[in-house]
Amino acid sequence: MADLLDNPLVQAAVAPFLVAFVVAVCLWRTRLIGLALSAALLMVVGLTIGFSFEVLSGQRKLVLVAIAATLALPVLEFTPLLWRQRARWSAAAAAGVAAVWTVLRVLQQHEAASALAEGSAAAVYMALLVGSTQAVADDMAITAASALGLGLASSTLALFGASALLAQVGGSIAAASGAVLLLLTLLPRPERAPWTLAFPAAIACGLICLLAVFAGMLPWYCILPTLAVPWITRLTAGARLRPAWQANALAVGAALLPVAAGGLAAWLAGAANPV
Amino acid sequence: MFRQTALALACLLPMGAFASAETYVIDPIHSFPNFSVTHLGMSTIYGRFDRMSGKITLDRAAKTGSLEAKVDTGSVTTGDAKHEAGSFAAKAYGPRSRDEHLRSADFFNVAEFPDMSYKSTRFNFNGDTLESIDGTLTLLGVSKPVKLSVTSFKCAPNPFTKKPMCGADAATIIKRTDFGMKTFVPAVSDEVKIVFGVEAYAE
Repeated sequence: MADLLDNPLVQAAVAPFLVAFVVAVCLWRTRLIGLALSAALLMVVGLTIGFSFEVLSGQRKLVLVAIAATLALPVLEFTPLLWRQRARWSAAAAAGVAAVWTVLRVLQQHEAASALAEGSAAAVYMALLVGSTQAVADDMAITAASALGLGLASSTLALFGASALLAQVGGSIAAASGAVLLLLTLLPRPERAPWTLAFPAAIACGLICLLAVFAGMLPWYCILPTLAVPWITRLTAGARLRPAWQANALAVGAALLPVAAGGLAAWLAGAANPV
Repeated sequence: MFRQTALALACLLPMGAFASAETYVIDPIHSFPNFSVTHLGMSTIYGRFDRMSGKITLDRAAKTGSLEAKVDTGSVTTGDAKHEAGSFAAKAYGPRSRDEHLRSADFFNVAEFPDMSYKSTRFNFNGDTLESIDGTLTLLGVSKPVKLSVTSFKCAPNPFTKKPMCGADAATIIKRTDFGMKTFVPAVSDEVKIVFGVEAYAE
């Protein structure tokens, strides 16, 4: 069993998928299905990075922010409708602050003006990603497809940024989102769609992309296509395909377009820039 | 007379102590920390850091000394610096080389922790021979006590420039997980052998 759990593919895909599947089945009739994605993420962290916080590196801050997002998820989900818009953008702003905190140690080693510009860019990117993911969260299948796209994008970009561990964390989000999409095909949809389903995915994937840039070797422009994932996925809502698996497949296909764009940009950058 | 002699001795004593403590500056061109790990339990992979700096003080009469060394972790090399597009390495192992991966957050996390350092707390002599050094290794922001075994130690003038110098080889084995470096354990061994080859010149 220990050998099995040491396998990177099991850590990044199989185990998170199974954990997310079980948690999502248990929470199917609640509005907390987003916790299935958190459970998968925390599982891969337990198997790889670990929960030691002796020295707060960027990776460990990512874990702390992911835990904070998990704790905040129920609070956000049950925010009264009247305050939801405010909660959505407050969460986005908090995510922006968390992004700066996560890459702070790298920023501290740069010139003040450069650090200010880079920190601001990181905060804006993160706030936009989290805000837009929440803004298009009215359909569960589309939201889950967005989360899958973000997971795959962050995993691919982390690999190009030279971090296998971050790629595994991104992979776990994609696998967990796949489990939710599978359940959406197999089970009747819950009466009320949760609007925080992709919240943990947006937080974790945004931070993975930023760490691939700040602590890795990824050019900054390669992560910009990830901002398009929620919006492109939402375009498929108009298709109204039946049965459900066709609609889900279309949403996933749409989510893969920005993933491919980011991956292609990273590949071209890697090929063009000798170290 | 006795008072004058005592006064003279009292004045000379600290000067004598200063005279026997020598400071040496590490020569970065001839000093490298090397390391080795077991890969997949199959073979040993070797690497080294190209840049280090620091100072050594040595009082051979009092058998004391100190060592402060800083290693630029971004200078890590293992013989796999870059994967050219279309090369066998790029096709088989992806776009990033082993050296690039070692610099990433998975291993040395160079962007956040550009240095590792060693600061001695005690030089241990056996007769005139320096046998080991107790000290603290700081890697990835984590400081742990590490004892260096000195396998070779010699002080003499440089045969060409005649400038006083010392050279030493010191080795230790650490567990990288003690410093939070957990990636690919046990496929890439937890135990890392580090050998410091150091040459230093009198200041």
